Amino acid sequence: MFRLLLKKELKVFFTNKGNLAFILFLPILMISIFSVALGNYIKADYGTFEEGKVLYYEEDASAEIMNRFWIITDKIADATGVTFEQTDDYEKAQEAVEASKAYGVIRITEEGFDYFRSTFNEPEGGELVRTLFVQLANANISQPMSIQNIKLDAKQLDSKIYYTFSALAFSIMFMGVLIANSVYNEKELDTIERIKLSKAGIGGMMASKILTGICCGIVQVIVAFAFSNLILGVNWGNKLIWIVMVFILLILFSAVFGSVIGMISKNKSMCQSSVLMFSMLCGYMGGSITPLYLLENMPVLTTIIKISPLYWTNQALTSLYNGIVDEKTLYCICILIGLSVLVSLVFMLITTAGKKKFVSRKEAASV
Amino acid sequence: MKNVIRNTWTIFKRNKEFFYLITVQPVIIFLLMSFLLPYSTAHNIAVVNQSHSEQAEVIVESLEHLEGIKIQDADLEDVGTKIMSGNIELAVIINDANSTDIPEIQILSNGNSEVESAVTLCVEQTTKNESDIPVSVNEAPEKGMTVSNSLGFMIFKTLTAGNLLAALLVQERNRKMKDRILLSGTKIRNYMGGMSIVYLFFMMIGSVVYYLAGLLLNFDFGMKNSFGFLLVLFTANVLSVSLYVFASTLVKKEDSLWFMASFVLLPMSLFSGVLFPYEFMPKAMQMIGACFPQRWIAHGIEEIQNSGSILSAVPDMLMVLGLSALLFIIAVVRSEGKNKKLC
Repeated sequence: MFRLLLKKELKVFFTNKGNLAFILFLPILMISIFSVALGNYIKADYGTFEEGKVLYYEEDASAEIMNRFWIITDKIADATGVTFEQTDDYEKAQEAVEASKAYGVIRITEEGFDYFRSTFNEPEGGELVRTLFVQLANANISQPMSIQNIKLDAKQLDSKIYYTFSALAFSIMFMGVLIANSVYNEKELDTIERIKLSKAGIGGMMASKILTGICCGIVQVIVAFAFSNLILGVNWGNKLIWIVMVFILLILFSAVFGSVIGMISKNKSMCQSSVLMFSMLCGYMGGSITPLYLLENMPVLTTIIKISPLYWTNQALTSLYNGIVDEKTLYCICILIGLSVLVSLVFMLITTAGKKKFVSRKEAASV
Repeated sequence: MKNVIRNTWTIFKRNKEFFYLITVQPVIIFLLMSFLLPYSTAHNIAVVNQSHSEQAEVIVESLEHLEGIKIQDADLEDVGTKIMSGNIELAVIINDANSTDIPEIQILSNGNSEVESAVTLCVEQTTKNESDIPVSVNEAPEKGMTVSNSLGFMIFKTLTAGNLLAALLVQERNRKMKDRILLSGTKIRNYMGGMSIVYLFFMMIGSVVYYLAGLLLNFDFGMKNSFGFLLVLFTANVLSVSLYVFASTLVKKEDSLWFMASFVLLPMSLFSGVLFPYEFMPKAMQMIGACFPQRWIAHGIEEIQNSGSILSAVPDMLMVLGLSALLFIIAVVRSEGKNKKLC
């Protein structure tokens, strides 16, 4: 009976054009868009000092002050590439600063330097140049300290690699919507009553839906693997089996969650939106949209994001891609198995309570 | 038209869920997205001070004063991993020297940081205040979290907020309410215009609430006069209303309206910077995004931020309003056409 149910589920799933498009194209679409859109950002290629310019205005400055000014500005120009340009109209220069045409304007008087910056739109490059200028003006610049600059021989974070794994994990979470819909449809079409009477029962139906979900998820992983290898040139590394195992556990969790929500939802839109919202939140907090390192650098968020299963999945996948099987992988495996079991237990408790209520109501009615 | 306005006013005024949708929900989404899309362009570095010298303290202090970079916590053991994973761009490591008081300094990086030379300069020139040349800098208010993080998402949310108006229009059409209203002599343009005006008014309240929340929570609008932000948002409200009035003439059931949000507005918004910062997108994506009104709205706001003048956003606002007028006229013409066919 179970085999028949599974066969029917697989047939229904893979003959539906919408489902097929979702399974085949969603990972490709997400990996492509995310990796292309954030390519420059992930490289931290912000153009911080691009076309950066600081204006200066001489006003009765002594030779000593001017000499000091040249030393400071030469050093800053060398370090940042920013140019220093003389102006003869201080007020116009201030207007130019407020219109983002220059980082700031330095008025050089016989008393010292007067730095004017915009109070509302000073860019990061401008902030850096200004604070450097103030520090150098206050420093003893004749005795520089010796510093050793060391370049680490490490792999650079790459958007193609990052989003191959994190966008695939995100699209797997979305698969829960298909499973939830499929389970809800059984209730809506009343076919669930027939299933209840059959040998397979509700458990068999749920298991067949979850297994179908796992099959769909595996297809998604294969599609993403082929796409990332052949088109993006991303090599999944030597821990492929571990990576696949993490993905299968994520698929299991997504399918279990989707099927349980499908069973307990009272209407279709609630069913869809619950899984969708949950997946979106997991994606946002798990680093599937915004890179994980950005979220980890936010003061409060760095703790909150740990509630997302995708956070642990993406952490584990990053380590595994680098060929490391560490505690992050083990945490991820335990969390995904634990969450799947927890969701199943909650569902069993709800259904048992529902059955008891139903029996007691029946008994009360017969009395 | 007055009756249509009065009627629509009553319908929306009675709906408590609607008030939640236009007042509380935008603020929640605004706060959530400001944290979840923290695309900062500040450079993250770490400082590991293992020296006990006074000079080391001065170096740490001067790095902390350096604006445009953010200092993240890191231990010596984590530094390599954090640079590899992108959490930080470089790390300044300060150790005690064997013979002198001057500490030994190493700067570890991936060799790709834009600010490495600036940080190196700051560290190598760090001394206690020794110069007698004073430097003064004009005061600026302390910046809060920027509204730009969530801007793309809020524009998407604002544009899809017209959904309820379209749902009401479709409902009235399907229940033949619209026919009865038109039989009373009301013209289609008055019927649609009246409902749109009321809805626009409520949407504008939502925008004001969003703007006030930003002000109260000390968000950084990056503008000399942040009122310009609200003005541009109002044009987004107008576009949303006319877009959904137009959409209501295309669909038969209200259920189909979500299709427009998911398959038309969301992909358009993706190219206009709803989830990723537009300025870092590849040129091809930017060119596609520039064709969409979501980008015009965001561009209008960026123009005010960059130039400091509200006037610089006028071309973008005019484009948005022009498109809104066009969509509204098409919607009215389509509705009139359908009505004539029925007659």
